[in-house]
Formats: sequence, structure tokens, C-alpha cells
Amino acid sequence: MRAEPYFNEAIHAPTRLRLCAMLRPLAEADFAVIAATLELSEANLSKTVRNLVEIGYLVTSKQASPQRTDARQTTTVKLTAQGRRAFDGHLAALRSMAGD
Amino acid sequence: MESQLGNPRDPASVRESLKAISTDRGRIGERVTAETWWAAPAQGLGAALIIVAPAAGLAWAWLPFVLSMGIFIGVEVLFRKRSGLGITRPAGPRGLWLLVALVVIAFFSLMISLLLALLGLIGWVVAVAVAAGVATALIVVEYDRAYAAEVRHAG
Repeated sequence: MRAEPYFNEAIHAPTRLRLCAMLRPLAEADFAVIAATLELSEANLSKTVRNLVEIGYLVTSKQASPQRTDARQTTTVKLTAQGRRAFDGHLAALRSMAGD
Repeated sequence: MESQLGNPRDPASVRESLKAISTDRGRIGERVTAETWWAAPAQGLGAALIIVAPAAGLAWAWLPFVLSMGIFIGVEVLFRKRSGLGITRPAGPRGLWLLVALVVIAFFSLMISLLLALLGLIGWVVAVAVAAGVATALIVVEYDRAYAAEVRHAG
């Protein structure tokens, strides 16, 4: 089902948009993989994730990871249903504006 | 809120955003296909083990079945760990059709295998299992390629 085009100011900023776009086709992704894929610093990504969590578009979870040698946990990020709807509407709006 | 240079609704700026999304999604595709070399043959082996199970007879059919489940679960867990991505659905129609083809091939291969085992044609059961395993591996390779292509334009 096609989403209704809706230009969403809350996710149009480049980092927010790219993060939502990356997560949309996935069930979830590891924080470090997102940072590497989007070529973002961990600090920048962390801030963006926190902002999107605050408005209800993302959720994060932490798990212990045997791959890590330190005590830090692996953070997993995923879009919420609200985030998916917002992104789908925004993407539809962008495509319509670009004439796709 | 991040700053945005220029008018975000300007068509050139919008096309730039869409291009960035496509580039990032392309990297997801690369990450998925980078794992194909080991996941495809492993899943082919898993499928072959299920299809060959009737040849083991009633008493031992559970063994290849359990091994197969172990392989499928192991592939899923290892892929998740190595790629850092959780993928639960195809990215587009081509991937969906390949998934349907996989299920259909597995189902009919198992039915044929059961029939051949009932007739005592064990060698043919093995042949069907090998063919189904090879077909599964090839379809998984194609599925990953389709995913890489379709994820660029997914919703």
C-alpha cells in the first residue's frame, strides 16, 4: 500500500533521513554498522538516534556482545511503526517533489 | 534540529536526498552479498538434508532434519552477527518470487523424495536431494543479488 505523501520536517534533516532510510527495509541494525554504513561519527549518530527516540520514531536495545573485548554492550536500533509511517509518507513526498 | 542549507523542498535538494538514500542502501546490499559465499552453500546443504531425510528410514529421519534445522538457525545467527543487520523480508517483488520459488521447490522435492523412499529408490532420493540443494544454493545467491538491487528503491 502506498503511503500518503507528507513532508515531515522532523526527519528531513540529512542524517535523520539517511538513518530512517537505512533502517526502513531492515528489522534492525547494530549501531556500529549504521555508523560505518552512513559514514557518521558515533557522537553524531548517537545524537541523531537520541532525537529520533525522543519523538517516538526509533527504539534502541542493548545486548552483551561476545565480540567485544570491553564491558560495553552492543546497541541495536530499529524504526517503530510510527517511524515507518513517518518515513514512508516523507519518502512519498520527496519522490513526488522529484517527479518520480 | 540539524541545519539544512538551502530550501529543503527545492527539487535539486530533494533529488540529492534521494540519491544519498540510494547510495546508503547500496552499501546495505554490498554487506548482504558479501555474506553470500558461505550462506548460500550452507543453506543448500540444509535443504538437501531435509529432502534426503526419507532415505534414512523412519527410525533415523529425525537426524538429517535436526541437522538441517541447526544449519538454518546457525546461518541466521551467524549472518546477523557478521553483517550487523537484521533482515526478515525481501526488499521487492523479485526477492519475494524467489522466496516463493524456494518454498515450492523444497515442498515438491520433499514429496518426490518421500514417494521414491516408499518405492525403495534410495539412490534417486539422494539425487533429488542433491538437485534441490544445488537449486537452493543458486536461488539464495540470486535472492541476495535481488535484495541488493531492490533495497535501493524499497519503501
